[in-house]
Amino acid sequence: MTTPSDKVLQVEDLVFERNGCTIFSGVNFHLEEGELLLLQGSNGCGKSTLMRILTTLVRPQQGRVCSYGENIYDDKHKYLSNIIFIGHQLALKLALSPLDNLNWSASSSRDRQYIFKVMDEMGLGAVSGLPCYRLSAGQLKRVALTKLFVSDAKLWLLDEPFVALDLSGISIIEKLINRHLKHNGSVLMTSHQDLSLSNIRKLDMSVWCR
Amino acid sequence: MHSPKTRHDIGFYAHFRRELSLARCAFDATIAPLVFMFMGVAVIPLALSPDTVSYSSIAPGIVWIMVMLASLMSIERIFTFDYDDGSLEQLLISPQLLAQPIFGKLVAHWVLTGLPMALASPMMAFVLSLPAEGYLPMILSIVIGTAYLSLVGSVCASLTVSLGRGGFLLPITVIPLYMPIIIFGSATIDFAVSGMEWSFPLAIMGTLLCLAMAVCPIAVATIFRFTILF
Amino acid sequence: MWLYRLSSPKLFYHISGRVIPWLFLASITILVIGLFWGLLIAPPDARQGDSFRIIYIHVPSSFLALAGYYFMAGAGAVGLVWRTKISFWFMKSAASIGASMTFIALFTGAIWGRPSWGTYWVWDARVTSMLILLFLYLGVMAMIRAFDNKELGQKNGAILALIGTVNVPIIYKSVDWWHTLHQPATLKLTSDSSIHIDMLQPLLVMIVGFYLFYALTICLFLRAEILQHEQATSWVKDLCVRRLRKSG
Repeated sequence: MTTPSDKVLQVEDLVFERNGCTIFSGVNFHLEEGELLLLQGSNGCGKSTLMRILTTLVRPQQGRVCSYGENIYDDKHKYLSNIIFIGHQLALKLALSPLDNLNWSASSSRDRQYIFKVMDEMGLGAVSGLPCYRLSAGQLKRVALTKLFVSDAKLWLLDEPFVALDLSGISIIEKLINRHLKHNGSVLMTSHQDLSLSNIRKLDMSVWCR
Repeated sequence: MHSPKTRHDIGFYAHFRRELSLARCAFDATIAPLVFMFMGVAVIPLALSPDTVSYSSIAPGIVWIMVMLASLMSIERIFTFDYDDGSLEQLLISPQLLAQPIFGKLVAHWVLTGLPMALASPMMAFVLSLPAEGYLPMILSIVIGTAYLSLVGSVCASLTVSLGRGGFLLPITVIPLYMPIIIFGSATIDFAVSGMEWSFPLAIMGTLLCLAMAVCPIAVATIFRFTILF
Repeated sequence: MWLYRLSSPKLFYHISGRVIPWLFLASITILVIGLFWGLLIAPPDARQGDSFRIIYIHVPSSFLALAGYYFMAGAGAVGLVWRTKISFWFMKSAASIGASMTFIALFTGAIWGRPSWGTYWVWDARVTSMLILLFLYLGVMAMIRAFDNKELGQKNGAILALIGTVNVPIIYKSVDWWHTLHQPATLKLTSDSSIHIDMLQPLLVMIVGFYLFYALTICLFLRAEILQHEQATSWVKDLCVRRLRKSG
């Protein structure tokens, strides 16, 4: 039995409206350490919006989100230093190389050598010095996802991480997610792909959707 | 719970340097406003008949109008790239004060556009035959004035950033706010040319700049926090 | 507390519906009295003759142009802090009406300028400040309307209006300073002379009338905004059904 203060995320009665239209209401779920939660639902049912609420970028009209028993807005700094969010926009500077981009978002405990190593693992070793505008969409996605390697965050929020990735890319990310879960990390993601991960808890958003 | 630090936690200086390194890759961001400014100065004498106007008497005004327009065109895109590629939302969810990185970006913007304009302005003054006494006050007023223009312009740019290229909206909202600087900036040069004490208007510009430095980065940070990503 | 309850669009709509006829009657009566008094009864000015009578439009509209900016910005601030939708709509209405008032002030000023200064337009400190005020109004109006997301546009408009209020004194002072620097001696205004009491009384009546008229137009604009934004709600639908039944 776990108490609310053990839960990485506890979402209660979330309501979100945009321009007077209710996108979803009554959203309730929780996420524990070492758990992978897959958000599912048709297009437009508010998956990305829910993700952005969990990053504090968007405020819901009602309801609250708690992390380890505390409202995420109470100590925003503490909450934010524990999450990493990778969305549709990759936040890569196209003029810089993947190495420079990763160096920018890497945690200060990671040195350059480590970044080289993980880029090899991601299959980016050959392009690490090229400017990003020379890379394909799939390669850019790989660069963005490499940020997961170099961050210390315990909670990963991934919005459609597999879009534009090829099969080998998907299997690398799945391995990466598995390793994160084994280290007691938590993952919340949206995806339309079938995953070969074993211990997935699925959550259908269409029940909250209007 | 440990709190991991990322390298850009350092805030001001890191963002200042990053902006400079990004601009080195896109060099025309610095040169284009200068070229624009000179072209504007070159067009104005063609539109006026040389018999009726003495260029030296209208030089302070022309210099300041062109500085304002060049600054206006360059400030429009200060946050657009970061907004489009998602860097801005990553900045918003990074665990740090927002005003420091924004101030870093603004100082970098000034170093890349305002400072070159100030340094290049003697060439403008030369072709407009501004008397020699006006050169130093002109450079100083442009150094201070462009910093103010960048700061105030960034507040309006942060309001219009989600529109992409907002077209006329930014000039419409920002030009009224620029007027005090235009008045005191051209007055500084005017005073110097006519042999009056020019430190007074310059000091007022300095005061306005201090106010803007205190208020604008925080205003931009607040606007981003509350309105941008809806 | 009553203020908070009034911020409900439905309640405001119903209360304003009752107030509007009285407001209409009062403002029209006072304006007619003021105009009659000012244009026909008040004595002509010693130096300007009858041309001074335009102040009965010019001065009240200038008053409201400036006060309206602060009403607008205040409503925007209330909307930002308490997230009441109706204050944003108030702000939007106040922006349009304030811009019109500023335009009327500038226009009547130009007409008045012809006989008293010999030219329609003068770069006088007050005229220039009024022109900049018009620009500030237009900026806020453009900002409110620029966004597809209406709420975002209103928020941004409110912030811009607040930035404007900080800048209005700075702009006024600098324009003032600029004007004293360049003021040619020929443009001495007659307004230094204090206004005679017989001319002042109708002016005060006109100012009161303009304020009432302003309140009236705000109410009308606000009701239109409410209907437009709340068209999906049941009470607006009921209202429409009742209206349709009444008209057969």
